[in-house]
Amino acid sequence: MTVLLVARGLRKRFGDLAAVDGLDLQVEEGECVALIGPNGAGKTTALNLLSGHLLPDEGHITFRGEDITRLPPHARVHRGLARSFQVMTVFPELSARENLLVPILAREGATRDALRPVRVYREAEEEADSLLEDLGLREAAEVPAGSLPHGDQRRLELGIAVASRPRLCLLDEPSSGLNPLERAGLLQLVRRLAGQRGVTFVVVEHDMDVVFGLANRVVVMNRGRVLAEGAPEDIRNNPEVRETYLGEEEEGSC
Amino acid sequence: MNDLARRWATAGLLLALVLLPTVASRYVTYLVIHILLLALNAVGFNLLFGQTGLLSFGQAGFYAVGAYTCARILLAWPSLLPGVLGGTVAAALAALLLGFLSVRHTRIYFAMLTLAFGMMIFSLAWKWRAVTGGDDGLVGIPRAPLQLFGLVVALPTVERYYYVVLVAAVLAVALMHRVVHSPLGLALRAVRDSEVRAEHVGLNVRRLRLVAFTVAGAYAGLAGSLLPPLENTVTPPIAHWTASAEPVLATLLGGIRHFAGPLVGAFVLVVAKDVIVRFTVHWSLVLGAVVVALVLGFRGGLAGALEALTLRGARVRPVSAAAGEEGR
Repeated sequence: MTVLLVARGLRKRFGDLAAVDGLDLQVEEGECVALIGPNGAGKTTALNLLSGHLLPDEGHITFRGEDITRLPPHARVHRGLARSFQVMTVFPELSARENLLVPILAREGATRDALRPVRVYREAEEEADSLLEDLGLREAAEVPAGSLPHGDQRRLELGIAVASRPRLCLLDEPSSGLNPLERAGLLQLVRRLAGQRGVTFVVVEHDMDVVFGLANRVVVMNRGRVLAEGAPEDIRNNPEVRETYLGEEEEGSC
Repeated sequence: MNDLARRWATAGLLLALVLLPTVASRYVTYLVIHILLLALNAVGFNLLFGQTGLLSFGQAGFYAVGAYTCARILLAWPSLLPGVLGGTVAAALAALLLGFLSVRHTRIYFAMLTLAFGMMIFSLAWKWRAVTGGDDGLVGIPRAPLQLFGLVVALPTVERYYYVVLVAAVLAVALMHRVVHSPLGLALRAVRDSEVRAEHVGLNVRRLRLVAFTVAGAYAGLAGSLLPPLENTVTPPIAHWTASAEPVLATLLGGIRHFAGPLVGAFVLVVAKDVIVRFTVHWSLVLGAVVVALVLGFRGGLAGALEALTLRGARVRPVSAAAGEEGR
């Protein structure tokens, strides 16, 4: 197993609050890691630090052997580190196909081309179409993404993240706002994309079914640092985790 | 069908523009030159506004950089091409420099910065007497001959000069058409739609904005550098921020989501102004009212309304909810 990503001693403060407070994390190629924890545990902030959306106050991030702690997001994407967002961020006025074409063209360095029409990039268009097919959005290819139904937008969001062919893809609550059926479908989609494209995923999730159905390793965060990590079964039976998180979740889920 | 109709309309328009000086009066030809100049400026501006989502209130500054640079060159070396190219390049460089300082900001902050930079250029034009002639401006600028591949074309009449402007405008607009439909154009629209998302799919947002700003500056500069050979003078008011409003108004009038929007808007704005001036000294009041009525009446701009009319609602592009909150 090769190590993809290592984070050491990450710290991020917002005023008096240390949202991430000494986080250590390691991700290996081919894993699917679920990042769970109660509200305010610092999961999304951790993702923001790893993806470059925020810069840490302390600590280091290494990706495939290279220090990326201070790199801007677009430079991380080009090195194979992409993400999706919890709050919907598709490109609303671009069509679904264009939403996928942008990361594909950016990956190929084609967005520097100012003179030839997009359609001369046949391979990019075919790739976008085949990804649309995988996402179940073929019919919606020409529809502006902002007017797609919520469930379609969530899948498109996921598609945008994997379209740049990342080695490591960070997903921030990919199933939020979906009904149980759509949730299961999305779960399957992530699993399929992981297999097909050889993508390693780190998934922030609230839904325990998603977590235990998807991840082969679970990292539990609390108060900005790692509380426990291990195989899903071990985490499920870990008394400390049950107390701080799972128990609370069971009460809250009714 | 759709495409074919558009092609015929373009061909018809080009033919009309080519024939214009043979049938129209000198004044109308002169007026159409001004339409073309504003159209150039507005087309560049809309790459920034409609395409990239950045509202600049400083385009008159780059227009003036083009005009003054071209004027200085022509006064020293009466040859049209070096003047126009020099003015365009100077404006692009000014936009590159000021853009570098502006594009990290967006929305109202970006608009205010560009306004401030535009006014700095205005005060330069006003105070830097040795170069700009101060409030007298530069006078006696020759309508220098066009020298190309050993060919010398004298431009004694407005009609002849009209063709120079027409060729420059057609080439520049055709070039912009390519840019808008290229992968770069798509990337700019992605930046407009969601800056954060664009950054996280591998786009260098700041650099893309800088590219758009520089190109828009070059177009304003090209328009500006075509002015002194026509008027033979350049004065500071062309750099004033009220002049920056012209490409903004033309683009809003014509429609920011249509390639032809700024062109249609430039036509309507120049003609409306010319007509209204004949009837009242309070022309700006009336013009303002007309602009407000048109913008409110045609939310997608006149180009959108025209398209809907010609296609008889056959296939109208859906206007998304976000269309109302531009300039993010």
